[in-house]
Amino acid sequence: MLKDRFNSAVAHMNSRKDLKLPNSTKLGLYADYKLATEGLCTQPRPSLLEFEKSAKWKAWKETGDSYSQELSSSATTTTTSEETDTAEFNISTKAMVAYIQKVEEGQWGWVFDPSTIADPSSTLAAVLPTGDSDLDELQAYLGIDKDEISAEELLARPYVPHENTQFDPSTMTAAGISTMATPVEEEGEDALEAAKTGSVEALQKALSANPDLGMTMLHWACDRGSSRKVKLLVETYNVDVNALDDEGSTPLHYACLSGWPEVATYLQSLPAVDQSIKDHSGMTAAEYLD
Amino acid sequence: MSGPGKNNNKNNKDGKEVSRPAGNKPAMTAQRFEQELANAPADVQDKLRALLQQMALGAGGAAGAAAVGNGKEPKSMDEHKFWKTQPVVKHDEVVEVDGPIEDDVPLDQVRATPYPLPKEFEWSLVDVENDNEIKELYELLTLNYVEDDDAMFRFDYSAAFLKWALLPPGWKKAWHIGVRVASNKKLVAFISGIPQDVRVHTTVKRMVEINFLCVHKKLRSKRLAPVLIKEVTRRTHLEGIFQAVYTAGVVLPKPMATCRYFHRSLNPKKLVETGFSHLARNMTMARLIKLNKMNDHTSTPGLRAMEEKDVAAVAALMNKYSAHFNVAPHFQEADVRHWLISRPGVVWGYVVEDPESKEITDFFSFYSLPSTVINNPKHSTLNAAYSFYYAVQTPDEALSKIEDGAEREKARAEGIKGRLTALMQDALILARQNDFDVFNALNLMDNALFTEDLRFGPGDGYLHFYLYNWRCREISSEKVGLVML
Repeated sequence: MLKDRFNSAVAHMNSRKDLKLPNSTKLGLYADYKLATEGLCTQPRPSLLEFEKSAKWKAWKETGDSYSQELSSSATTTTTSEETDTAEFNISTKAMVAYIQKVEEGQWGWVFDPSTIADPSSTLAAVLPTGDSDLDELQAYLGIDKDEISAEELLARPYVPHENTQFDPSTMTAAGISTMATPVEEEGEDALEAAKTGSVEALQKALSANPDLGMTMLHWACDRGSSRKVKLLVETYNVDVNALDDEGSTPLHYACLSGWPEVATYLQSLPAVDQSIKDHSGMTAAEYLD
Repeated sequence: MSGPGKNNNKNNKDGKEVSRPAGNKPAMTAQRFEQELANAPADVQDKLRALLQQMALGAGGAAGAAAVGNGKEPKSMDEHKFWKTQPVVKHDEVVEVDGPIEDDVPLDQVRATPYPLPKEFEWSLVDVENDNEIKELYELLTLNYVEDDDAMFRFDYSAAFLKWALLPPGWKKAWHIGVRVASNKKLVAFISGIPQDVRVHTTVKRMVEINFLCVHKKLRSKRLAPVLIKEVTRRTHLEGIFQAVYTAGVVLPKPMATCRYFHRSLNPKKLVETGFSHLARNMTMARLIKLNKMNDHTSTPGLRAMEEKDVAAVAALMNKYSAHFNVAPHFQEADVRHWLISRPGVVWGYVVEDPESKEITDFFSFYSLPSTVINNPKHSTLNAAYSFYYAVQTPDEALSKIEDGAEREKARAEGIKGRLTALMQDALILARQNDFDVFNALNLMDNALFTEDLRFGPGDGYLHFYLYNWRCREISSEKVGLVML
């Protein structure tokens, strides 16, 4: 039956929100859908600035007009016994056919399978009013978006997070997972860069806002725990392995305090590294190892 | 980056209308547009209209795509559609007088049978005392419960935790509601309630605390959540309870209170490595670790684990302390016994016993709620401790002499700040000893008195408190005395 094919095609298109269809195609489908389900457009024209509404209204209105014209012109030429239905019904039929044709021609993977016609009693939405206002309300709510894919099939599919971040009532009571708020970082002007190309103020700002505390590149590499950077600096560029920052800490202090045993072990294996150096707190690097 | 922060944005889709042209000024502009268009040559008119349409559909984005084809509204409206049928305070409503929104329903008028589910599903109460079923529930939640929006963390309530949370004094099996797929009996959705006396302003009501609403993430399109909410409401009505309390990281109609999360790093390096916190560009890991270092041992004399013999004293302390807040649970001794005595891996409860008088003067507690770290090569679990109930001595006699309300509040804060800060410092140390990576607290109760001094940092998450079928004057965060798991 035409209506079943139409409903199946609509359901298919609703399940294919991933399709990136051109606007003209979407509008065409929209117009046919509205004509098929609601008939000719009788709504007032929305304001031009309500872009989306405006565009849809225009598509609905104009497609309806053209279908009406086609129908009336064909009615004058062919008069068959079947054409006893109201004009509105013919519009609706024409729109359903047009919709199905578009979906078929579009090759968006729709295949009509009569066995998949939803049993009207299977979904809450299709149940007639029960007289229980509470239940009717729920049904009305649930009916808005009936999903015709079976639970088992959905469970078997790989999980794809919803593309558009919609409010998800399914986890409503959950507290949400809070993590540390990211502090707003000043766009730290690099001091070297400021010295080369920046203003005096920029240099002043970079120097006062960027307390490197006398750390060398090797200190930083040790702090961040990058063995490869540490090795590169030590072995290729022969940097000072016992450099002290403003707190009297060596790169080894940083590696130990920050908990990078691989980096610490590497530094400790180097004969040039003085492991007995104490920082201003009087601690050797090894004393910081957990 | 986490759930609630972004969830708030999600909710701003309710504000979508607001951001669109509306009101007088845009309408005038629209008129002008129309006029100018009418004066333009026909081909220009057409081009302009086409351009406007293109812009509209481009900007319309998801909503436009969703609407084309079935003519329905964007999903946000569905959500509103459900809540607007429920007895909850509307967003634009300001409550002046507390009270029920709907009358209690006489038992003979409560729907006797469960709400119908779509035919491939069936209701199934979850037997929380049964090891197999708690394991099923644990698996459902651990794989499908709340994630932050970057999908870096997902709550990982332990099975022991779930038993603790779902089996308090007066628990009802009828309120541990599961949904299974009829064909293969797989547990795919859950909602729970537990009974609790709650005082809101001056009214004490037997309420149900709703928690652990979860639908399998592949079945979110099946719209089970509203049916679950309706069903737990029905089952609550059957027990003669008509009010509920619940919390959410998202904004629904309408929060009675909103609190912000604060986090204290205990294991800063792991927090950075998992993406829980961020190392500022010029901050060294070494300095971050030094800043967060704490003593190895607690400092409060007489601090010890809470025992059975402390129950009566703690209940008295707790209810006296809670009287300061505008919403708080009313704990019986059985509740104190259940919620506050330590359970391994679940909850930690401590009391301070005065070394001389042997009186119990203070107590505090925290619980464990780990999160799975998703797809991290180095860490699989983040161990988070959450501040739970506590009470300290308040200088009641001195306070009673202060007549001005604001002055009294100030004196109270000054009077307890030092003691509370010292106690929570010990709580942090104990949490670290128990291998927690972070200690979380909302800015409710008197938490704001110690969070700064104890180096808590603000989180990106908020927690909203809600009442079902109870109008309640709004409550500021420091007047919230209720902690939900």
